[in-house]
Amino acid sequence: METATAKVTRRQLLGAAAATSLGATSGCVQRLRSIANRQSSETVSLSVTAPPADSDRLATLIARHLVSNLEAAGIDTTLNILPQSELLREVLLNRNFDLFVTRLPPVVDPQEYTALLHSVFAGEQGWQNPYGVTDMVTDDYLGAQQRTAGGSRRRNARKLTRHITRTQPFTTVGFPDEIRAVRTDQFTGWERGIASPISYLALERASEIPPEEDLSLQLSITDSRLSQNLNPLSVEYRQPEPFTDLLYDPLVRRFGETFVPWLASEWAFEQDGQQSTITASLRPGLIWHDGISITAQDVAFTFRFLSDTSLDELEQQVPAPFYRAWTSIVAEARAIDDETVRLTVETPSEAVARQVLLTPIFPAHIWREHTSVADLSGFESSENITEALVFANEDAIGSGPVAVGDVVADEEVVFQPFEEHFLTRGEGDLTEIPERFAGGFPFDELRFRVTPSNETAVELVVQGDLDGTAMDVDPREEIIERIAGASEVSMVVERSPSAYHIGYNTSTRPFSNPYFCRLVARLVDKQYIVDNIFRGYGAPASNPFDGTQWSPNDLGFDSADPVVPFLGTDGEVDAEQARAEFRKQGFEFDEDGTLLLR
Amino acid sequence: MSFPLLPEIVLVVSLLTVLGLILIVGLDRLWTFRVDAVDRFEGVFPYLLLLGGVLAVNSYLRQIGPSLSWVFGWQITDDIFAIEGDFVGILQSYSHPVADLYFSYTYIYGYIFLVAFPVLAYFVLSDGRPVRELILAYAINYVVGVVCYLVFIAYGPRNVMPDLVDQILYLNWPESNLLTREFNANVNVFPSLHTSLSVTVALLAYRTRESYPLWLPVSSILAASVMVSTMYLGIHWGTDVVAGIGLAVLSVGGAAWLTSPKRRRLKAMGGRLRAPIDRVVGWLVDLLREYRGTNRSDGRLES
Repeated sequence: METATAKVTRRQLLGAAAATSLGATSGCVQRLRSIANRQSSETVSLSVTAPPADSDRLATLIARHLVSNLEAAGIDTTLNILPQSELLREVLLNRNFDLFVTRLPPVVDPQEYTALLHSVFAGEQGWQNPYGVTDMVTDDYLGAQQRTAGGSRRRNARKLTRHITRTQPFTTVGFPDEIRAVRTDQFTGWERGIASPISYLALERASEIPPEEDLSLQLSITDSRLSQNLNPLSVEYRQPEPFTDLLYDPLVRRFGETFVPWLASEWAFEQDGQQSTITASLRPGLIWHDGISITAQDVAFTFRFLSDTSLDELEQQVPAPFYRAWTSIVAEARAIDDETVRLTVETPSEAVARQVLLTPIFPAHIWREHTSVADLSGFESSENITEALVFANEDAIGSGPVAVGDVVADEEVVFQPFEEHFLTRGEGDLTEIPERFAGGFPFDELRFRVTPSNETAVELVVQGDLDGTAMDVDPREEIIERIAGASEVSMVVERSPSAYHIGYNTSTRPFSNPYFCRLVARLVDKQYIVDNIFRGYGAPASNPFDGTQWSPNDLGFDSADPVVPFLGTDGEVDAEQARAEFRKQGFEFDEDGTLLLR
Repeated sequence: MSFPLLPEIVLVVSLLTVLGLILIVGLDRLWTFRVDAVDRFEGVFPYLLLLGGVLAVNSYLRQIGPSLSWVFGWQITDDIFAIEGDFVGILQSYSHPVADLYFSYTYIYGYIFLVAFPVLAYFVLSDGRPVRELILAYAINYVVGVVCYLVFIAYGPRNVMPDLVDQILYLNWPESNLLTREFNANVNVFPSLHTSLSVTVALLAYRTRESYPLWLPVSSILAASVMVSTMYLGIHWGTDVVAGIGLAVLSVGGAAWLTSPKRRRLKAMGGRLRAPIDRVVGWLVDLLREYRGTNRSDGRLES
């Protein structure tokens, strides 16, 4: 944020006083001091950080809407367009922003609010409290939902949601529909959804394709970050549902409401007062992509490592930029034998505790080598970055159903089926695995090709060069028509789990005042955004849990926001009304109608 | 590097070039040129080598440029927006399907022809200066251009105000995006090299209007169209285009200064610089001639 002094500066006053000071009386000096020692008001200048239209058109448009409405209300605002990786670096690592517009990583359980908003995370880097919230009430509610179970937890979670919706450390705009173009001549089964990468495994070969034919599943990515870095901990390179999920398996995967044992063959839950233990057994004969066995020690290592990627080597802890909602409640992770791990989790709720099993597991023998301070061609960087968070990991060794084949920066990334994966081998107890994943992989190769824009990606699908768009495309009329008009091409539409949101830097003025955040939120016309920017493909929301059991019924978005209703109509701010609302909270405007800060 | 649209580009540009050679250069000029082609080539070769080197360094720097720029570059998208506001949006509000087509083709085919054709046309001229001037002007364009791309980071209007500016080029012609991304990162918009190279060609056309009177109006119309197309298609800001014109003036001025016959010292220095290259090329040409069994002195005597 930049501020400019509007009134006469102290120095000017003193100079003027000195010029006429010969006959100054003590009364005049008193008067001078009481004027000069007051800080004068400053005009506020805000900067909205957003990605460019080439990579996230909807985010750019939301940012444009926000900038023009802030300007209309008399708040001097500029639009700061940064490429995705730079944006995440500035926001999540450097905390150098006023407001930003991105998609929020999916929040499915209230516990995930802990990472986003708990004050203990205000000093961490990554998706831990990027808003810099330090609020005791929020912390209390977060603790309450973690310490309770069942109906009591639901009540606590709703109170939490109500409080967060009231204080607006970020504004939830709405959930977009993810639109993808896919070809049906080689693969089928797209209609089950392909938003999360693991669902590629559930596709089927088209019936006219002979089973012995080598088939490559070719998908477009309109973002070259995947081809530059495959490190699941490099936060600036990862999108909300990262493709690296395909490389690193967790103990358990969640499909909708169901928790499916994945690397684990089974787990047992036991409550013990305020804590609980989970004992999980690995499937027999699991190996990493490099052939080394996966053991319970790797699982224990993962939880220790994600809490501090320096493994206590450094003075400061260097936690991973993801998964903190879960890794922070694992008090202890202990390998009992090679195949059994026991996790002590700080919650009495099974519904919470079992979610720690969704964390991807990292091979200890690889990541142990990357715990030192990251260096830049020999020069050591600051103390709080480990090699683990920044190395490119081009030949990632994971346990997932596919392994890295070939990576050409800015062009393509090829994954190959991992023949030793338990799904391919078909060994062991697979009864709980959804049937669509059984019977081997539909493809012999998974190829992500970097395409420069959505329009090009759709065109390549229509022409038959690609099987589908791995990333969703924007709902421009021309694009939708192109997909609808092509033969053997279908449009897959899924409601996204990650909402568009506007984050505020609440650690600095003026966003440290929650009333200011609320007023800014009231300059966002969510219904207008969904109708005109999403073009009807999506739904507005008052909070990330809108419409679920974790949000109170009266907080549902119903043609207007129940907490921060828009100050205007049809996307246009009513400037007079907006200024009146700001004045009510003690904000003032100068003679040009520009907002002042004191 | 892949090269999308290559067959189409080769076809269209060759066709236009043949037309240009017949109508602008003239067949009789081509016929007389035939005899001293090899000598002319020897004369121009060091310049081509220089341009090739500049282009190679340029393409490497453009690859690593964007990531380098984010470290120490200067973000000017905001400043450009403050200067001109919605200008490109207003320009696009007059869009029409015919104009979409005209400017899209001009941006890709028209531009490549405009930049490639004068190399041939000036090469054919008996006066060696225009071709040297042209190549040096191109080189200056690219050198200054890539430095600007390293120093300035700016997104084009289509990336900053998608509500006002459509991506006309890529919506109508998605394949062209595969081509442009091979050459350009979307943060390299200041200045517009499309503009600067086109205006360079038009300015040189003015300087050579006595040899090629028809080329002046043709190149001027094309250059103006390319200039408008960069803005009309939402790729460049008006500011980029103005800076591009400035760069063109600088390049042509610089090239004229460097090739001026009055600069004896410069000429002598150039002569020393090119001497080793000339020796190698001369030796290769002799070898070629011996191989083909022709007598080298023939060509020399006639010219």
